[in-house]
Amino acid sequence: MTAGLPFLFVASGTGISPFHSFVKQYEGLDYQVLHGVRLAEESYEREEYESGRYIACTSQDEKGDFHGRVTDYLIANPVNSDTLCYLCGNCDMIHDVFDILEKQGVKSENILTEVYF
Amino acid sequence: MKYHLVTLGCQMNHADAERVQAVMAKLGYGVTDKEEEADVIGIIACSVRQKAIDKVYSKISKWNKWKNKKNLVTFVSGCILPDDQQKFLKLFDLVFDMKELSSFPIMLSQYGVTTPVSNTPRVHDADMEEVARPASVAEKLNLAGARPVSKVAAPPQTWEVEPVYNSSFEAFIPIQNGCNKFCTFCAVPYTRGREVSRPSADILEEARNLIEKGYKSITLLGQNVNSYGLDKKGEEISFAALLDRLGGMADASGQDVWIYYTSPHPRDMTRDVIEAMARHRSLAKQVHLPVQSGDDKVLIRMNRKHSMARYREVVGWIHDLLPTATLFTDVIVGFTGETDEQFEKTRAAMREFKYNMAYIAMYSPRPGAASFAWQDDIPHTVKKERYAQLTEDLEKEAIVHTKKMKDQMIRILVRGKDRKDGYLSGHTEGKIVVRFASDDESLIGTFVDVKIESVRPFSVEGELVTEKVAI
Repeated sequence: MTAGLPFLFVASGTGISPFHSFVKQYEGLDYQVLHGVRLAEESYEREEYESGRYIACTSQDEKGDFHGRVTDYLIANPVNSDTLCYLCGNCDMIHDVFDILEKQGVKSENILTEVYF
Repeated sequence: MKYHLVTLGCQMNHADAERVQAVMAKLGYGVTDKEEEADVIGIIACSVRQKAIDKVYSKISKWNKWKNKKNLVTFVSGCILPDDQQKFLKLFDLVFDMKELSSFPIMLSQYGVTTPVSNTPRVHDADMEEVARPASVAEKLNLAGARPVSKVAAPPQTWEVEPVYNSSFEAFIPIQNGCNKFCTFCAVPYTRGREVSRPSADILEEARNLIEKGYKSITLLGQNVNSYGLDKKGEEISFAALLDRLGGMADASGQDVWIYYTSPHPRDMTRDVIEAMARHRSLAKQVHLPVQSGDDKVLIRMNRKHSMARYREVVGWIHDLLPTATLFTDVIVGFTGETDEQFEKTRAAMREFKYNMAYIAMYSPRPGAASFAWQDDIPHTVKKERYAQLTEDLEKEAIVHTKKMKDQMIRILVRGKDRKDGYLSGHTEGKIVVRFASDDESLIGTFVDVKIESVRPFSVEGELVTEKVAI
């Protein structure tokens, strides 16, 4: 892994699954998980992530960490341009997040995608 | 007793078919081209296109009607999606995964079929039971008369069966099966499973035997050859190292042979693969590098996991290290959500990379693939227009290459009779089709020199200059 650089994991729904093992595999990783779900109760195993590193973005209730989509969160909270970004889940979400990250100065080669659905 | 085998789809399916033929031959069956004469009829299915699956249903419907008049056993294998497999179980007598090929003799036996060799002392019931035991794949095939290339760990793979080669001068060697890439338009990971690499020692041995027998063209097959060895977690050499060893062996053999591979993946292609190709004369200077789309957003939707910048980097290596190499590609037009602007970027890629050949397909959703759940929102008429436009673009680029061949003396491998009466045809090292006037069928399977007299975008025509030359 690229030592010292911050990681951003953006997932929608079950797209969270690869990040679950990712953070367990690499201890000491400097990461932030953005998980887009409809309801806070869909924040699968959020307790598995270190405190403060998991943010549930809920679009249909206000019980998450952020009310709105992951795209809204990213616009409100821009990332550093040296962040390594991994996007997984819904294709439309990935397209939108890709555009936002590029506008925030993240190079496209530092944005890795996995379309699940 | 005779069997008839129908093979649909890609080169991998044809390589699988050669192994099915080997098992049938060892069971004592003779092959027939006429399905009406066969006692056993099989089909190696392909799920990449709906048309191929429709053909399977059409064939089995006809064959099942014949069962009212004759004894007939039918089987199906190859690339089959789970839904189709369930349907085939009701239509075919035997349905099996190619990984279960070594169990095919026992399947036939259990089905009540007396094979031509089942009454001989060599193969009897006890032997058949041994044949079916998964832990002894290699031995069991010996009992059926086929020789395993090597003993490998379970699960068994088709390549454990030595094939009956359908050609005496060109052969396909499977080096890997399955795919981990999960492109959203493709069902292969669901039909062939995850990537499994064949032991390099087996590949080198099969290649060495073919070269010693005088084979002129050898193609290494895998769904994603650049991932070769990765599943072995450091216990197998890389694809570049495999090519290097094959090239070194072929160069040193003194034989003339062109070694190809398909398909690579732009994400996993490494510079050392191209370097190996540059190092060995036997590694043919032709690269088939699928681009699929020229637009980064479409590539994301396809889950190709590479950008155009990455693709451009790989093509740069090819141009730098293999200046004479031909470049082929695959393109899908009309993929879900593809806008006019995104299609224009594919057209731009066609101009930028100046392909010698492209296999262009109109997108069609495949059950099992992720994109099947998405709306196929590009009208068929638009797909046809884009297909025609891109084909026209390709022709403009390709003819620039073939025009450079005019008046040149080009070495080709003669592959057979051409559709044009009185002509033979073959291909160059870069797989450009060449035809020339000759009735001398003894030239088939040899290298000859042809002086090119006229050119078209994807083929050229010339006059035979020298016969049976060494490269």
